[in-house]
Amino acid sequence: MRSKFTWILTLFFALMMQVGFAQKQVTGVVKTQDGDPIPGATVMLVGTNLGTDTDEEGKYTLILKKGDKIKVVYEGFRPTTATVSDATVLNVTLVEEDITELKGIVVDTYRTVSKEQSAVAASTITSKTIEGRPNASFIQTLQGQVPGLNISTGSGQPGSNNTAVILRGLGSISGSVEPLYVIDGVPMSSDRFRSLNPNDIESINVLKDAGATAIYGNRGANGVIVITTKTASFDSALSVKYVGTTSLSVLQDNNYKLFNGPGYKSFVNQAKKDYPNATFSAYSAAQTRDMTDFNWVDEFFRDAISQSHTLSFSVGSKNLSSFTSVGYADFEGILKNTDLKRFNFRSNLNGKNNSGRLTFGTNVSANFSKSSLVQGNGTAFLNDNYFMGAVRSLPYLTPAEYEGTYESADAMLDKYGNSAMPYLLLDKRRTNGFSQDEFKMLVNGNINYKLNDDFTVGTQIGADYQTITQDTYYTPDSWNARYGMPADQEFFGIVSGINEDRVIINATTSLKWNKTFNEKHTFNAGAYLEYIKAHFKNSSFGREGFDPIFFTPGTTAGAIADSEENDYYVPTAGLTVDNAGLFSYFATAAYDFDRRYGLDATVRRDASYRFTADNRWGTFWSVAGRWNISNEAFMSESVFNNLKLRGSYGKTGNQDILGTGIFGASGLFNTLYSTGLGYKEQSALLISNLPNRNLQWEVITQSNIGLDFGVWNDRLRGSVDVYRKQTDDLYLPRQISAINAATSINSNFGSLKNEGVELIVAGDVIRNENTRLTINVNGSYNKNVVLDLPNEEGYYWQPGSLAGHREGGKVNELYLVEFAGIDPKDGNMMFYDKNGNITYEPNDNDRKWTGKSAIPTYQGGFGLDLEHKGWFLNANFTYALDVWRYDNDYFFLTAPTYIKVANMSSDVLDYWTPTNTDASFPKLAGSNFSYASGTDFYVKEASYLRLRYVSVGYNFKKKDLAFMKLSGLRVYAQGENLHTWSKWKGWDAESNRSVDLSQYPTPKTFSVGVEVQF
Amino acid sequence: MKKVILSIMLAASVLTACSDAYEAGDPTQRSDENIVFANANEIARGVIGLYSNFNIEGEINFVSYFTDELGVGITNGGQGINDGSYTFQITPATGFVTSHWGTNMNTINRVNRMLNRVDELLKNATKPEDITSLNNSKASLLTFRAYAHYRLFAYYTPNYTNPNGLSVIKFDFLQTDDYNRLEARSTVAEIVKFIEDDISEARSLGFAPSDNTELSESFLDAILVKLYSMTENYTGLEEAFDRLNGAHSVGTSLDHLLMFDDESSAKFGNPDIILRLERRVNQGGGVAGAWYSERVARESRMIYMEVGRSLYNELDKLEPEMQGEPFVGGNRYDTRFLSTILATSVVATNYSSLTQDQYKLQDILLVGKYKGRTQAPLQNDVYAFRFTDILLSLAEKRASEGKLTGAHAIGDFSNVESIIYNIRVNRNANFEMSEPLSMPTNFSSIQQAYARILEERRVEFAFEGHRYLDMRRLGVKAGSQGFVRDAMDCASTGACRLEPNSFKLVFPIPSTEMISNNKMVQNPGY
Repeated sequence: MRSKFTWILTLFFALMMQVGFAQKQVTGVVKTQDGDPIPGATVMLVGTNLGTDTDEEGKYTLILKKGDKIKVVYEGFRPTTATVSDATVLNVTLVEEDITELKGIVVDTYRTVSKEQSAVAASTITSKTIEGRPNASFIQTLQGQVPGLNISTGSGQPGSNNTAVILRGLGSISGSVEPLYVIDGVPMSSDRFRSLNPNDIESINVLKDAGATAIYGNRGANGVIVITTKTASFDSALSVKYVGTTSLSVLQDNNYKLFNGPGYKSFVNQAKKDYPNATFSAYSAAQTRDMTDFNWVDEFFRDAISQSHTLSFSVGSKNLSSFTSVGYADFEGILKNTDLKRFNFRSNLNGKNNSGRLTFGTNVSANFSKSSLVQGNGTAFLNDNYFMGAVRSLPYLTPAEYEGTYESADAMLDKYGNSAMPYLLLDKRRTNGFSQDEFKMLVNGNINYKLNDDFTVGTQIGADYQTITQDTYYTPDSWNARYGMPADQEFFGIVSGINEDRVIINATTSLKWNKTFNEKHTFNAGAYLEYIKAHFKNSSFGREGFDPIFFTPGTTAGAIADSEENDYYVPTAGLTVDNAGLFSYFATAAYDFDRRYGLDATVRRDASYRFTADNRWGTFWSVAGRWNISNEAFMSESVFNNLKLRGSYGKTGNQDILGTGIFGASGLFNTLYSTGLGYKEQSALLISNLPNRNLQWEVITQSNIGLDFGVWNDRLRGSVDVYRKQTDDLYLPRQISAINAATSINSNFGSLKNEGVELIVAGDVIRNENTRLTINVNGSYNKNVVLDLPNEEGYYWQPGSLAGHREGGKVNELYLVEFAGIDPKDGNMMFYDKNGNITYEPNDNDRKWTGKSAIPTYQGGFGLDLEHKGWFLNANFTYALDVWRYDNDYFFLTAPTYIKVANMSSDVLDYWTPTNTDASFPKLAGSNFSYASGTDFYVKEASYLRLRYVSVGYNFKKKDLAFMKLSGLRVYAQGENLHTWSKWKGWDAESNRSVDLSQYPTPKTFSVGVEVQF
Repeated sequence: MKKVILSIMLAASVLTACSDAYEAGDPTQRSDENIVFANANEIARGVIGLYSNFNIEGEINFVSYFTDELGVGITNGGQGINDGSYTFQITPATGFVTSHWGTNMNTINRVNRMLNRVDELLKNATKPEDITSLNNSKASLLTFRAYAHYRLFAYYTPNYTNPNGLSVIKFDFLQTDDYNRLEARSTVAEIVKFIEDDISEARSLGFAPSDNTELSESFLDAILVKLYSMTENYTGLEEAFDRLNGAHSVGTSLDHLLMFDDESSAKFGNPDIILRLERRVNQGGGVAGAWYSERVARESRMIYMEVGRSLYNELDKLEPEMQGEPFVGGNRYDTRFLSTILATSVVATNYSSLTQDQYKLQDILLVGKYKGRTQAPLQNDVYAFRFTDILLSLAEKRASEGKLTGAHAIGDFSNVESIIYNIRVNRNANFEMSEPLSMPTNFSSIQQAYARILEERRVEFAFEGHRYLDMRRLGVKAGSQGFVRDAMDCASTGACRLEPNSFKLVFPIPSTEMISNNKMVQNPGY
């Protein structure tokens, strides 16, 4: 790119010399803040096409006159303008771009456009934000960085893909709401990133509006996240870089105010005095005297240590450049026995011929990860969920009583009944394993050839290959493996496994045309063909009954053979396959007039395997325009160095109508049959799918207006976007009469709308030679409204659930009976019926739309970035407002049925008695408490403000490192999730669920890191 | 320019070769009914598939919680209480209200599809064995349809005896994928007629010979008897009864005991059983899982629910000599007591003077009707119809006729008292005695006779899923107090009693149907 630019400029330069317009020769050096020269920076005379590149010493020479403005541009640095004075030397210092920088380039899989010439809404995050952060998955790092991008992590398991990434509000109800991820041109088959090394990422472009996403047609409806990995430049010396971090993760605090041992006993004894009729008994005098107190949270969680190392090499010759990195990371989870270990290798290679007409590149990355995972979170079984055990185990029991055997666990159940939970969980921890090994390979190759000055033909082929091996076991002496087993079964233990292969291949062929007429009219156009094919294969097995002498986790050693008397030891096996495919052709066109006006258009025809021939093809398109106001002559004296108005309108599609990924949900347009084991173990034939003949794409129409600005030489900069995004043909469950053999069927009916405003602003409060202080703020407001639903009543609610949808309300709006307080007279719970009167026995008719949902209306982040003589400090806050969720843990911690069974929240001390009539909880026996679970009594606000990230460090100056022969050294300490302000009582206000029950919370992490460059 | 044109041509050739991208999918899917149901054998396999919907377990679960059959168990962790099942909560979204409607409608929809296919195959069938097989399958299909309608009728009809009153949807049509079709509720008379027609057609087609685990002619008559006991068509009731009488009987006390022993093979010849749903080790819901988590035994540490004290007290009255004595090691002769109460139960005779926590720990009455199997600890066969049920339905007719008491003898079903006598003789396991252990005494009025029938049904059919409909049908006539729990069983929940005239004895139409079908009318009270 750079060399082509030089070639064009030189031509003009020569022309101008002839005319003899020159006044004097000005030379200068372009340097970094640290004083290092920058070779290859572009220096341009503002308002003309005149310019040059700096040489290897960072020097440039131009013929200029006094008062001329030059603009210096170099990738990764902020463009800087300087004015020529009487002197013939003009040195320019460039400041590195930071994450709030809005300049740079906008990349999608097919096009690369300078920010100036881009007419779309897109945000760019650079490696600076991602590198060296102790998050196993890079996606968590994006939180609070991009306006309109809502990221909520639902699990603290290292590398978990249980993270909801929602751009500009929920765009679908049943279908996928997550953006498409594309890494180096390869679309990802799933949102699983645990095997990828965040340190390899050069930049992430978040494409938001239709102008940017329509080119992805069928998969662009929820936005696109384009990830570009690092490459080396041509003609560059070998650079070796090491990035290492070590971190400590700890559990965040909760606000359940659990009882301690003595406190719990005194609560129970008092409660028994107040309610002699209650079914629990008081503690005996001897029991009460025993002051044992044990914190079960500490038993199940730990302070987790993690480390990550990345070593990368980049080098370039005249025709070839290469970037290679190897990485190793080991993340411990804060729950004992959970972790993620991974190994990464990446090699990016770019080449060209001498003329530059032929270019080619390959990206190869091979990644292997091993994780130990947790099963049973979110369930209410007392032998399964460690997170529930941590809060609900009785605080006067201690682990010492469990002897580490099946017999001991069993004896605990005899002794304690439902209160044996912690012991059964200790037994599970001793005897259960659940792990996944993942090998993931991303490969991409591309070739482009310039046919002549105007035409380029190119092709690229990529593959995302992933194989997962999952192993689950319970040892033969596991209590869980033996519980409920037939009396005559002799051998126990369970081993099961899954092997899953998936490959997604995509190939794109393009023909591009680029021409400039009369210096002012530039045209770009492209025609493309894209082919995507994906294959999936899953094999599974299961065995039960092992000889304990030979039992070895991850194998079936010691498996007992099946015998005639019974079927305990019969192995199970399964093999499934699935195929998916998409085929598309599309075109783009762009026109620029004098760098002041621009118009872009795309149109795409897509075919998906998911639909019948009639509905298979969809057409998606967009138009986008811009006006670079700051490039107008009348703006030349203004404080605005950048002012651009842009707008776009277009249509994208969502083929992933059930949110199952590229596979799955196929054949839904057909009546389907299956075979199964029927009555008396005879083989039976069954109908397994009711057809939806009219199945088709969900369609999203989006309009966007945006303004980018920079004033005082970008000292204050930012953008504002306003959008409206409407989804039609929503694929929704529509309740149908039971005569159809089902009570609901999904069909394309209904629409919803997201409207919002996004703002990002950054300002350099201090900007001088030694110090820079930047304050950045971003935020978004999104209003989510369901417009049209299939039912005549205008709402959809699945009986028994806590949330539903209604026209005029939000998607997944909580739909509950309203709690009206505790009746001071008798301690029963009072609720409002549908007419607003008090009722003690509410029913479904009394439910109300609450206007509350788990998706925030407002979200964003703010922070500061301070640099002073090599020291730096970054701080980032994130927030999400208007978030409401149902706290199911709090239900279990306050329900009177669990008194003397499990630990509780001390909030419950405020229960009703004839003398405590102004109570917040009902009477402890004989109340109508069973109605509470379908009401808003347990709905809690989960809005939060979080100190998401703080980093302090020092960047050594090059000259101070010379004696060590290093070219860069940076050391830092950082913290993640340091503090959260929220009304939510649980460990983690952040979650992607409407109803939360005992889930893996995200941790608080402290880390130190070092970056060394040779 | 030549290169440009060549590139375009190359692209165009790729274009035509790429249709395999969108012609992908899951290669194992089968969607053609003519391939799946191609012959008589596959139709028979389709009928086997319909048995999966034949679920009595869900009904037993619902009825035991919602009525006065259960008490709170020693290790209850909120099961059935937090969700309101035990506290008489019933709404259009209640699980069983929704699933009972959905399952039966699903059955009928599938029956109608298969009937349509059977008729197509019958047109072209030539081999006699194929025709017989198809006719037998058709008889089963019609039987499933009649039974599903009967089950819906029983739970969702507000007034059985008003022929013009609303009942359920008469589902006599092929319904495939016209999801906009909506049907209104038919009248009681229309549904009854439709069930009768299906039964008479099934009878004319005939069933393949089988044991008591499959549909049969007896099953058809049992439906009729039960249906007519609701609609009070007593002429029809007695006609159907007469066809069953003889081929079936109430069985002996030994038959009765072994009926609930799943290791026993005596069930095959038990004359009381009209239809037994056989549950193999890896199949079926496992009815005892409603009350136990691990296995049916005292040593099962997870006992969610126990036998309600009020039911226990009724069972205890059956043998007056032993009444009040703690139950130890099978010291009872009435097989209803023996089958209902697990032998390892612990009985506190002074239970009513205990504190709540003492009561919980010292009075442990375990449900023993479904003991499970060695190889499947929570699983049992269940019974769709028993002759004893049919006989007590005849007793309802006798009561209505005023034939309350009189001579009682084996085989004499001419009055209510004699019918009860016939049952009690065959529930006495003391083989040295050919008389009942006890007989109820008060048959002084029709209302009293109904009360005796209701009491007899309570002990005979405990935990068999009958109590709810029995109270519905007989509660008011019998002057019953309704479902009454012992004060010790309801102190913690406050849910002590439900009156026999409560609207909650008719199911609401489920929310899903009300929302989707604007022709549907909700039942009173909801």
